[in-house]
Amino acid sequence: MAKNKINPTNNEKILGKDDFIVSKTNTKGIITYCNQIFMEMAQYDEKELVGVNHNLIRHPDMPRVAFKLAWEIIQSGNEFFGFVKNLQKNGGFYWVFTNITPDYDENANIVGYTSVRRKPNANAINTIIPIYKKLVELERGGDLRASEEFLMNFLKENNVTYDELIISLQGEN
Amino acid sequence: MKYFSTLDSVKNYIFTMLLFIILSFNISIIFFGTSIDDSTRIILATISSVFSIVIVIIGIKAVNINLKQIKDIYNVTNRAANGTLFDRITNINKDTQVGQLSWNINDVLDQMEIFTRDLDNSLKMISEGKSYRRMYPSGLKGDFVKYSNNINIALERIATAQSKDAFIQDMLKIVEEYKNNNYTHIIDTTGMQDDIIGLANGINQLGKSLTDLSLENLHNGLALQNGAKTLASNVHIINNSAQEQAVSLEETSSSLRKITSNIKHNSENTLKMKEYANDVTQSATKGKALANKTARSMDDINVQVSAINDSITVIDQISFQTNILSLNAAVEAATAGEAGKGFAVVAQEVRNLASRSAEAANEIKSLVENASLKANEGKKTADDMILGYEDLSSSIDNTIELIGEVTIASKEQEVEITQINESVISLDKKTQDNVSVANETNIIAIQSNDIAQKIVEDAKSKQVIGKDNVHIRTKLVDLDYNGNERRKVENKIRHHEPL
Repeated sequence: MAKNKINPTNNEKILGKDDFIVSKTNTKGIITYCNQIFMEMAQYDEKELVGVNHNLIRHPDMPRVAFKLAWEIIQSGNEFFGFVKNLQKNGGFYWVFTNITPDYDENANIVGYTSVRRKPNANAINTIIPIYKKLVELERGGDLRASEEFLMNFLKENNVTYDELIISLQGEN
Repeated sequence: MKYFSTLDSVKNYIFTMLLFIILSFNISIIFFGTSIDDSTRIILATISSVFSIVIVIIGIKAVNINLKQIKDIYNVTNRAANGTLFDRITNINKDTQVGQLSWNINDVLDQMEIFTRDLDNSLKMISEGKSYRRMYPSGLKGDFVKYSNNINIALERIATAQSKDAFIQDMLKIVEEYKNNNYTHIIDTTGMQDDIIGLANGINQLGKSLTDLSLENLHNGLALQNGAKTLASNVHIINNSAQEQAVSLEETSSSLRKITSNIKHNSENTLKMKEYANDVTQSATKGKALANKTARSMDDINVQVSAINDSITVIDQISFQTNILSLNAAVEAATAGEAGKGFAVVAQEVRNLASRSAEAANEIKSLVENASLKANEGKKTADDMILGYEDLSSSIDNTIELIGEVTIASKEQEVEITQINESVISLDKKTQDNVSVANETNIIAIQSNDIAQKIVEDAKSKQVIGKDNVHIRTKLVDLDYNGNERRKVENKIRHHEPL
C-alpha cells in the first residue's frame, strides 16, 4: 500500500455501543481479516486493509510505548487491553477500547492475533488523553525509555497493574 | 474440496450457460416480439445474441467468483463446524447474495469467537485470582449478551468468594501469628463482606485482649521484679541489722549481768557500811564521854595547881623571911666580933638555903604555871573533841540515812535491772527470730525475682504493640508515672478527685 501521508483532523467518529470492531493479523501485524464495522470506522475498503500492516490506522497522538507494551504482552501469550486513538482514512479519528488475544495453531504456536475494539468509556478517555500526551512528549527524541519509565512509575505510584488500571477505567461495559 | 471439484464440472458449466442464453432470448422476444420487421429482428437478434454471449461470459465469471466464495464459505464453515472459529471469508463482493452470506457467516463467527475468547480469558484471569476481569457484552448480540451477563453474575460470585477466601487466609495467617505470640497485626476489614466481618472483628478483639494481657503481664512482671529487688535489698539490710542487733544485744546482756552483780555487791556494801556507821556512832559516843572526863580531870588539875601555887607562895615568903633573918644574924655575928665569927658562917649558910629555896619555889612556880597552861590546853582540846564528836555523830546519822536510801535504791535498781535483762533476753530471741524470718524472706525474694524474670522474659518474647512503652512506677503512688495507668487511685489523685 502506498504510504500517502494523512493529515489528522479533529473530526471524531464514535463507535456504536452495540458494535465492535474485529480484525485479525498475522504475527507481523499484517491484516488478514477485518469486519464491516472496521471498514466503516476506518473508512477503508476490505481490499485496502487486508494484506496491509495494521499501523495503517495508527494515529500520531498515540505513544509508541503503548504498542511496545501491547506487543510484549501478546507475544508472551497474554491478552492486551488498551485505549487506542485510531486514524481514519480522511484524517478523522475514533477512540476504541481494544482487546487483543493471540491465535494458536494445533501445536499451540502463536499464528496471529485477533483484536476486538469496543466503545470506550468517555471518562476513561478523558483520563488517558493527558497521560498519552505526556508519553508522546517524552518520546519526541525518539527514545522510548523515558516514556516507559514514566508509565511504570505511574503504575507503581498508583499501586496497580497495567491491566487493572485499564480494566477499571473502562468499567463494566 | 473434492465436492467442489465435481461441482466445478462441464455439466454444471454448460447448464449455467444455457440458462443465460435462454434468458437473453426470452428478453429479446418479450421486448422486440411482433411489432418490427425481419431485418430489424435479425439485427436485434444478433445484438441480442452478442449481448447474451456477453452476459454468458459475465455469468461465467460471476459463477467463478461465486464458486470461489462458496468454496471459502464451505471451508470456513467446515472448520467452524469442527470447532475452529479462527478462519474468516475474505475478498467478499458485498453486492452479491453470496457476499452477504459471507459477511453473515463472518459476523456469526465473530460473535462466537469473540464470546468464547472473552469467556476463556475471563475464566483464565479469575482462575489466576485476577478477579477484576469481566465479560464485555458490548458488541455482542442477542443470546450472547444474555450469556455474557449471566456469566458476569457467576464471575461476580466467584470474585466475592475469592475475596472472602483471601480475607479468611489473611485471618488464618494472623491467628497463626497469634499462636507464635505475635499480636502486632490487625485485620483490615476495608471491603470485607458483611458475613465474615464479625469473624474479623472477633479475631481483632482477641488480638487486642492478648495484647492487653501481655502488656499487663509485662507490666506486672516488671513491677514484681522491681518489688522483688527492693525486697531483696531491704531483706539484706534487715538481715545485717538484725545480726548486728543480735551481737549488740549479747554485749548488752553481758554488761547487764555485770551491772546486776555490781548492784547486788553495792547493796551488800551499803549494809556493811550501815553496820560500820553504827560502830562509828558508838565509838563517837564513847569518845565524847572520855573527852568529858578529860575536861573534868583538867579542871581538877587546875584546882590542884592553884593549891600548889598557894603553897609555893608560902615557901617563897618563908625563903624571903629566912634571908632577912640570916642577914640579921650576920650583922649580929659581926657585932659579936670574934665570938660571932662562927655564927656568921652559919648565918651565911642559912642565907644560901633561903636563896636556894626561893629559886626552887620559882622553878616550881614556873612548872606549875606551865602545867596549868597545859591543863587549860587539855581542857580546850577536850571541849573541841566533844564538839567534834557531836559533829561526827550528826554526820554519821546523815550517812546512815543516805546509806538507807542507797540501799533502797539499789534494791529497786536490782529489780529493774532484772526486768531489763529479761527484756534484753526476749529482744535477743526476737532478733534471732527476725534473722531467720529475714533469711526466709530473702529466699522468697529470690524466688519472686526468678518468677518475675520469667514473666518479663515471657512477656518480652511476645510481639506486642506498645511493649517498649511499659513503664514501672517507682513509688507506691507515683504522680510522675507516665506509663499505662491501671490503677484508679493514681488517676483520682492526679485529677484531684475524692478517693
